[in-house]
Amino acid sequence: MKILEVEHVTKSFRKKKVIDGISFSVGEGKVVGFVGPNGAGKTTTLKLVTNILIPDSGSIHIAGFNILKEREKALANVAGVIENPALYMELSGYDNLRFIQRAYGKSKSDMEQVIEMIGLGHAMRQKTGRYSLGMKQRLGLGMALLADPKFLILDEPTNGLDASGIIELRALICRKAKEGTTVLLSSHILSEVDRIADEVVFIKDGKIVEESAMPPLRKKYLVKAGDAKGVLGQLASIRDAEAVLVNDTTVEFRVGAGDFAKAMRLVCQEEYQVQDIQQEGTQLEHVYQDIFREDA
Amino acid sequence: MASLIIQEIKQLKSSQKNRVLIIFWTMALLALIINYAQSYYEYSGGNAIDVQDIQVQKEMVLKEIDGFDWVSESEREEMKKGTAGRHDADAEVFCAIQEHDDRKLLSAVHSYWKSEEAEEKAYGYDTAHDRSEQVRVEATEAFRDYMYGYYSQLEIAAGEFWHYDRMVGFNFLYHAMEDAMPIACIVVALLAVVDGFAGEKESGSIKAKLLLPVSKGKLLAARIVGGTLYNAAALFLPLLLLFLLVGGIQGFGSKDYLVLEDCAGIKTAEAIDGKLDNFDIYSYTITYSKDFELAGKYCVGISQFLVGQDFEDKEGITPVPNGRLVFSSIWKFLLRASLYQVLVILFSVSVGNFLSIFANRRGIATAAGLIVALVFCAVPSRGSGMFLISPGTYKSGVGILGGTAGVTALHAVSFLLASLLVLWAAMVVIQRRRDTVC
Repeated sequence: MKILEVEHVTKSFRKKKVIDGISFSVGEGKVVGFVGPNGAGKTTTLKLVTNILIPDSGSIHIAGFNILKEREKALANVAGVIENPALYMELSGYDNLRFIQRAYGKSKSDMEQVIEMIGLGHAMRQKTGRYSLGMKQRLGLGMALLADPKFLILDEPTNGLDASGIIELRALICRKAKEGTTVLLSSHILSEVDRIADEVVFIKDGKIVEESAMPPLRKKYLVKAGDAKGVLGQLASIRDAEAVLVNDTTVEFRVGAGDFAKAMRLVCQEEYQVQDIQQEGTQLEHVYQDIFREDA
Repeated sequence: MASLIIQEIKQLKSSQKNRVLIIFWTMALLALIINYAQSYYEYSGGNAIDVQDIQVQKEMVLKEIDGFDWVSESEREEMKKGTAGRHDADAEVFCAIQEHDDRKLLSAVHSYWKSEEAEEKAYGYDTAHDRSEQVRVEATEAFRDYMYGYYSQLEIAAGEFWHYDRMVGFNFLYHAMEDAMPIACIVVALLAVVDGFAGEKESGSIKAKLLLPVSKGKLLAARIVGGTLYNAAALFLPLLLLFLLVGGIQGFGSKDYLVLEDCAGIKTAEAIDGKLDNFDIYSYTITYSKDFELAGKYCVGISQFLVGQDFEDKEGITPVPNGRLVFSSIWKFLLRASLYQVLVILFSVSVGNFLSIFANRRGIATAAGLIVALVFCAVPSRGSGMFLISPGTYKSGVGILGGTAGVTALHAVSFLLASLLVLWAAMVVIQRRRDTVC
C-alpha cells in the first residue's frame, strides 16, 4: 500500500520548469529519504505534495486521495514541517500548539505529551518570535507530531538543532516509524538520512534520478583485530554483509542497520582480539557522489 | 471552523499594528469627548467673543461701503443702514442663545430675517423680482435646507446652536456612533486585516493553515468572520468603556432622543402655508437628547416662522401640523446603528482580505489598504445611497439617521450583498490563482 503516489508532476515558475514530470511513491510505514543538491526541487516537491503549491500537470495521491480533488481527505493524513517551521511569531509557543490541538481535535493531554517530547515546557509562554532557531524547529516538529499523522513530511528538520536535538530527533523519527508512521525526510545531511531511511529518492534539476534503486543502505566499517581472518569468517555468516580483508589486521565490511548488532556480537569476541571499529563513510554518500558527480 | 476563527482573532489580538490601531481609535474617541466638552463650555459662556466678531465684521463692511463711489451718497447711507441692521440682529441672536431665552431667540431670528430683507432692499436686490415671490422662494429654500438639517441657513443664523450638546453619557454615545464610527468602521477594520494573507505569506506561517485538512474557502471564511468579530469588539469596547466613564462623571442623560416623525415636507409645508410648491424631502429626524428638548421646539417654531406664519399670533410654540414630535429610545437607535456598523465592518474586512490575496509583502498590502480606505472615505454620497461603501451615505440622513427602519434595512442588506460579492470575487481569485495564497 502506497501512502504517497506522485505521477508525472510538473511545475513552472514564470515559465521556468522547476519540477519536470517527476514520479515516485512512498510505501506505508517506511522512512524515505528525499535527497538532492540545493535548488534540485526538494522543497517545491514537498509543497506540491502538501497542496501548498498546485502542480501544472500530473497527479498526487495521498492515502489514495487525489490532493486536488479530495484535498481535505488527503491532508487529513499528512502533517509536517516544510521549508521552515510555520509559526505565528507574535503568539506564544503554547498558543501555536493550541491552534493545532483545536484544529485537529486533539486532547490537552496529547498536547502536554508533545510539549514534553519536544522539551520546550519552560518556554511555552514565550512568544515564538523570541525563540532560537533550534527552539523554533522543535516547536514546528511538535506541531506536526501533535496532528498525529499517518504520513509525516520533514524538510531539513535538523536545521538549527544542536547535537542533542539531532539525536532526539533521530530517536523520535525511529519511534514514529516503529509506530507505523510513514516519514518522508528531506535533508542535505546524508549521514542522517543514511542512519534513518529505509529508502531514498534522489532528485536533481527537478527530475527524479533514483528511487529506492539501491539495496537497503549499508554502512562501511573498518575493524582492526589481531585475528582479522577470524573476523572475516564470522562476518561471512551474515547473509547481507559484504566483507573484505584489507590487510593482516584490518577487515572492511558493509552491513545494514538491522544486521549491525548481530555483526558486533559475532566480531567482538575475545579470541579475535578486536582493537578498534570505525565507521567509514556511508554507501549513501558513494551513491550520492555517483549521481551528483558534476555538482560534487 | 471554530478553531480557525479563534486563531484569526488571536493573531489579530497579538498583532502590534492592531494594538496601535485600537489606541488610535480610543484617542479619537477621547478627542471627541474633549471636543464636546469644549463646545459645551463655549456655548455656556463664550458667546461674547462671537458677538464681538460680528461687530468687527460690521465695521469692516461699513468701511467698504464708504468706498462704493459708483452709488450716490443717499444710496450708500441706505446700504450702511441695512448692513448695520443685519449685523445687529445677528448679534442679538447670539445674545439670545447665551441667555438661554427661547422667546428672545425666536424674536432675534425674526429680526434677523427682516433685517436681511431690508439690507437686500437697500442694495436693490429685490427690485427686479416680485417681493412676495422672492420671500416664498427663499422661505422654501430655507425650509428645505433646514429640513436637511446640518447645512441649513437657520443653523448659521442661530449660531450653530444645534452643535452644542451637553456632554453626558448618551449624548457622547450618540455622537460617537454618528461621527466617529462610520470612518473607523472602514479605516480601522480594513487596515487591521489588509496585510493578513500577505503577512503570513511573508513569514511562511500560512503553511500551518494550508496543511490543515480544511478547504481554502473555509480558511478565507474563518479569516473574514474572525476579522469581523475582532474588529467589532475592538471598535465597540472602547466606545462602551468611554460611555461608562463619561456617564459616571457627567451623568448618562436621557435614554430618549427627540424625533420629528412623519414630517414629509410636502405635507408640512402645505399644512402651514397652503401655497408652497412641492419639494422633495424625506422624513427628517431631529436628534438631540431630552436635555435639549428646547432645541426641537426652536426648530419647529422657526420652521413655522420661515414659511410665513406669524409666530407671535401663537401661544408658545407648537409642533408642526402633520408631524409628530416624539421621543424615541436611544436603544432602538443604537441597535440599528450597531447592526449597520457591524455590516460595514464585515464589508471592510472582506475588502481588506481580498486585497491581501494579491500582495506577497505586508507593506504593499498596507499601502493598498490605505489607498482604498481613503477612497471609501472620500467618495461623496450625500443622500444618493449609491455609494454604499462611503461613510458619507451613513451620515447623509438617509440611512441610520433617516429614521425609517426600511431604509436602514435596505442599506444593511446592500452592505451584506456587497460583502458577499467581494468574497465571491476572492474565491474566484483563489480558485484561478491557487498559488496566490501560498
